[in-house]
Amino acid sequence: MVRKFSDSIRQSLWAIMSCAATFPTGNAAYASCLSLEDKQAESSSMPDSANEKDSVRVAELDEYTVVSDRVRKEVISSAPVFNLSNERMKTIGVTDISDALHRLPGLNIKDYGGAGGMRTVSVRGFGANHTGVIYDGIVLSDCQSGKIDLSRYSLDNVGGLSVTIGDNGDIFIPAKASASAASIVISTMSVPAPNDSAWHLTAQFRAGSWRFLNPYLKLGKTLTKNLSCSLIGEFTHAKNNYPFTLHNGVLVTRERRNNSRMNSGHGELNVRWRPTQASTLDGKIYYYDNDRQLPGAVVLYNPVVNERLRDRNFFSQLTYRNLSLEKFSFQWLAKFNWDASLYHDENGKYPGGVLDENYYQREAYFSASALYLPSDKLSFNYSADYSYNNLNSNQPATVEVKPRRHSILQSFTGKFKNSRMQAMVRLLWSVYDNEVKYGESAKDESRLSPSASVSFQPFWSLFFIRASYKNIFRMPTFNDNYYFRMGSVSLKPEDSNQVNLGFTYQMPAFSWLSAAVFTADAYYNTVKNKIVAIPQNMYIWSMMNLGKARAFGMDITANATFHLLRNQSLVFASNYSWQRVQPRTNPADPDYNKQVAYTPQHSGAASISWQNPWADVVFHATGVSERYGTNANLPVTRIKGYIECGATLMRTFRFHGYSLDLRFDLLNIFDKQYEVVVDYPMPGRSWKATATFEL
Amino acid sequence: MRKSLILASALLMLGGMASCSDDDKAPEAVETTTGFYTINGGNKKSKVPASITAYDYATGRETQDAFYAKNQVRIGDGAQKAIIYGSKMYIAMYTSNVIWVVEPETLGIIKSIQPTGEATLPRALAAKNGKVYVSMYTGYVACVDTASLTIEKNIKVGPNPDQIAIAGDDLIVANSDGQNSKGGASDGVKYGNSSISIVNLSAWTQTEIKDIDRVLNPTDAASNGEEAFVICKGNYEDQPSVVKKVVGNDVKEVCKGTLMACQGDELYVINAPYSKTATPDKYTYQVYSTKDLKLKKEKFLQMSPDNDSWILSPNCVAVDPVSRDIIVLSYVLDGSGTAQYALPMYGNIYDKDGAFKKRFECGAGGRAITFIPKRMNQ
Repeated sequence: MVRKFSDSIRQSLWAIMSCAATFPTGNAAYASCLSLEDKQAESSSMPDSANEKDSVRVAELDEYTVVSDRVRKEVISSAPVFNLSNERMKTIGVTDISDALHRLPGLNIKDYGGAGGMRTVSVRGFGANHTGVIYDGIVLSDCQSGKIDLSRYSLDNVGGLSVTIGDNGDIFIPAKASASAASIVISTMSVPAPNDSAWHLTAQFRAGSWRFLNPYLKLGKTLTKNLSCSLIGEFTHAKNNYPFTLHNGVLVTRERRNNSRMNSGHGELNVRWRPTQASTLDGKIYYYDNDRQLPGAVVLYNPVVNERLRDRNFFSQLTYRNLSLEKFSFQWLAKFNWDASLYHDENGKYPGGVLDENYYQREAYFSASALYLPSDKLSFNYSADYSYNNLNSNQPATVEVKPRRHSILQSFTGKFKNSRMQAMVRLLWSVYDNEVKYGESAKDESRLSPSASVSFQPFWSLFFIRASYKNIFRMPTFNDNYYFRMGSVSLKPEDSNQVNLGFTYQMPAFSWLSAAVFTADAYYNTVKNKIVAIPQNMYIWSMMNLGKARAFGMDITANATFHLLRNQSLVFASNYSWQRVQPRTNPADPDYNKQVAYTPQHSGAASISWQNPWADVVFHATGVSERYGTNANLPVTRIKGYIECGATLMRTFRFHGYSLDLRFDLLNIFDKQYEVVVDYPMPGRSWKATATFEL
Repeated sequence: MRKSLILASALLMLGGMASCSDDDKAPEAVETTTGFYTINGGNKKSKVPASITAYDYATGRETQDAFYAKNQVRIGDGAQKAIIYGSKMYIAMYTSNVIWVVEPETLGIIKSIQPTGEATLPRALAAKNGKVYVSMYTGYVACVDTASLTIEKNIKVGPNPDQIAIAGDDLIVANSDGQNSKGGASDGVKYGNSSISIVNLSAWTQTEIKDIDRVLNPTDAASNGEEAFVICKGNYEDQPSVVKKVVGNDVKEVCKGTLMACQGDELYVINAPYSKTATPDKYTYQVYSTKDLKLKKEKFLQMSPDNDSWILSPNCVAVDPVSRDIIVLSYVLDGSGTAQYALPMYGNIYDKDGAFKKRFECGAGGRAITFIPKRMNQ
C-alpha cells in the first residue's frame, strides 16, 4: 500500500511537472510547474500540491464525496494564501501588477503613480521590508533597502501571482522562502511541453494614454525531446505626463506631471532540460533596464525637477529537481544577481551642479532541499540555503564601508495530513554574518524561528477552520546599518509574531453556480525592536531599535461564478480588509495607538465579469479609506480615501492554429483624483488597448 | 544718543524695520512693535504645510496659518525666513523658489518674485538702503530693488549660502557647503568648501574667508547692524557648533552655541547640542557682550521643568527690538525624548529679565521670527 501510494505520488508529481502537456495551446501551455495558481490545484507549488492531490485521492478511497469542482488552494491552505492565476487575472479585468495586488486582501500598496512609479507592498501592517518577493521559486533580495519595487514586473509573462501569509502546507520550498512574515509569489510562464514540437509565438502590442507603448514578444520551442526553451523581449515607453488638479486654497489649477518619461526593457531566456523522466533542470537568464525620470512630489510654485533613476538588474538562475526516488525528492537552486541603482539629479545647489548616487549590489545564492515522504500521512522537508550579498557605491571613500553579508538559513519542516486535517510545524535556523571592508561591521545574528499552522475540516463539506502562528524577524538592511550618518551597526533585528485564525468554505457546485469560495481570517501581529529613524536634529537622523507596534484586523474574500445561460456566466470576485496598525512604543508618544501613517483602516476590491460568446465585459473597483501622512494622525495630514473604478472589454478570435486577443481597458472611469503618497497625484481617467497574437 | 542709534540699526536687522527705504515714507524710528510672525517650514513629507503664525501683543493671542487665512492660497513649501523692510514684508521660500512680497500687517500678497537662471532657492534675507538681499542656496546673493520689486543683480558667493547679516556696508554670508556633507567635493572633508563671504554692498564685490579650521559649516548669521556673528555648526561629529564674531577678514570664537540672537550690544546664545534624545537640563542660555565677547549673563531665561517655562528642544530664539522680550520656539518631544518635527511647536515669551510670560502654539517647523513694527502713519 505504502509502496503503491508513493508510486502514485511520484506519478502525480510527474504529472505536475509535465502539466504543460495537458494544455497544448495558449498561455497555459507555458504554465510553470512551480507556479501557485488557483485554477489547477495540481500546478501549485509542486510536490506539495501532489499531497493536495493525494488528499483528494485519499478522500476518494474514504468514499468522501468529491465535488466535481476542483478544491481550491485558498480553501485547503492552513495559513492564508490568495492566488490570482493568469486566467483569473484576465477574467476579473486586472490591468497591471498594482491592480493585481489590490485584488488580494491584506495588502497595502505604496504607489507613486503612473507607469514609472515605484510600488512596494506591505502585508497586514508589517513594513514593506517584511514582505518577501519570490520570483520563480527564488526570493528576490535587496540588501540595501530591503524593499522590492514590484513595478518592474509586468503581468504579461506572469502565470500566477499570490500572497502567502505565514507558513502553510507548501513545505518543499527553500529555507529563505520562509524567512519573511509574508510573501508575494510571482510565477512566470516558462517553456513549451516536451512533446510539443511546434513553434510558439506570442506577439503583443499595448498602447495607452500619455504615450504608453508596450510591445512584447515571446518565442517558445521544444528543440529536442528533452530540451525546450523560450525567449522573451519587452519594451515600455511612457511619457506619463498625466494631468491632475492641484488644489491650492481658492486656486484650483489643472497641472501635468512633468519629468516623468520612462523607457524600460526586459529580456529573458528560459531553458528546460529533462535529463530523465523524473528530473528537470530549469535555467533562466534575465535582464531588466529602466531609465526613468522622477517627477518628484508636487511642489507649489516650483515645477523644476531634474531627477532621474536608472535601475538595472541582471540575474541567472538554475533549478534542478529530481523526483525519481521512491520516498525522496530533491531540489537544488543557484542564482547570481546583479543590481544597479543609478540616481542622478541636476541642481545648482550641488557641488558641480550634479548629484550622482550609484549603488551596486550583488548576490550569490544556493539552496538545497529534500522532501521525505515516509507514509501517506507524513512528509518532512529539510532545506539549507546560503547567500552572499554585497553593496558598493560611488559615494566618497570616507563613507563607503563596502558591506557584505553571509546568510545561512536552514529549515526543518514536518507535515501531517489526513482526510480531515493538515498540520505543519517548521523551525527556521538563521545565521547572518556581517562584514565590512572599512570601518565597523553590523552585529551578527543567529536565531531559531518557529512557525506552525493547522487546518481542520469539522464536517464533511468543504468547510475548513485554520489557525497559524509564525515568529520571524527581519535583519537590518544595509541602509539601516551603514547609511551615511544615519546607519547604526549596533541594530538588532526587528522581531515579529503573527497569529491567524480563520475559516474557508467552498460551496458544492451546482448547475448554476461554481467556484463559490469564501474565506475569512482574523489576525493579531506584533513587532518589537522596530527599526526607526530618530532625529538628532532636522538634518541628522540615526537608526535605532525603538519602536513597538501591533496590528490586528480581518481579511475577507468572496468569489463565485454564476452560470446564467448556455455560454454565459457572471464571475464575481471581492476582497475586503480591515486593519488597525498601531505604534505602541510609549504611552506618552503622540502616535501611541493611532494608525500608522499611510495605512487605511478599510480597503478592498470587487469585480463582476460577464462572460459571453461575443465580448467579455468586466467592471471593477478598488477602494481605500482615509489615511494620514503622520503616525500622530494630525488632521492636517489626512489623505482622503478613494474608490477607483475601471472597465474592461475583451474578445478572443480563434482561427485555425492561431488566436487573436483584443482587449480595451478604461481605467479610473470617473476620473477620481487621489493620492496614495502625499503630493504624488495618481492618474485620472485613461485607457489601454491590447492586441495579442498567438501562434 | 548712541544707544538709540544702536537700537535703530538693531531694528533694521531684527525687526526688519527700515529708516531709509526709497520706495515709501517709512518712519525714521520705531517705538512700538505690535507682535511677531513665526515662519514655519512645515513638514512636507508628512503633508504638514508651511505656514506663518501671527502673534498679537495687544490680544496676547496667536493666529495659526495667517498667510493662508488672508490669501486663501498656500504660502508654498520650505518657508525659511522673513523680514519687514519699509512698507513691505519679504518671505523667502526655499523649496518653492519664491520670494513673497506681502503687506506686513495683513500678509496680503503684493507680488511674488520667482528667481530664475543660476541664482535660485531663496534662503535668508537682509535689507539696507532700499535693497533687500537674499541668499540663494545655489551659491549667490540676489539684490532685490524695493521700488521695482525685481531682482536687480546677483553676486556669486560660496557654496550653499544660508543665513546672512549686514554689518556696516558689508553683507556677511554663511556659506554652509551643506550639500557637501559627505565631503565628495573636497577630498573627503565634510563641508570642506564652507566659507564666509563678505560682500561689500557699495562696491558689490565679494571676499571669502575660506579656511575650514576657522569656518566649518556656518549656517547662521546675525548682527546688530555693525557687528556680525556666525554659527559654525561643525561636522556633527567631532567638531562642535561654535559662535564666532566676524572681525575684518577673520573670525573670533565667542562660545559654543547652536542658536543666537543679536540685540544691541548683547548676543544671546543657546547651546542645545544635538543628541538622540533631548537633554533640556543641559542646555545653556548665555548673554555675551558683542564688543568684548565677555559673558554678561549666565542664564538669560528663568525656567523650571515643572511648568510651561521649560524649553524642550529649541529651534529659534529672537529678542524684541523694543521691549527686549525674549521668544524661544521649541519642538515637542515624544515619550522617548525625541523631537517631533511634524507636530505643531510651542513658543515661550519671556520678559527682558528672563521671567516667563506666556506660552503660545506655532506651526510645525517654526524656524524664524519677524517682529511687526507699528507704522507711524497708521
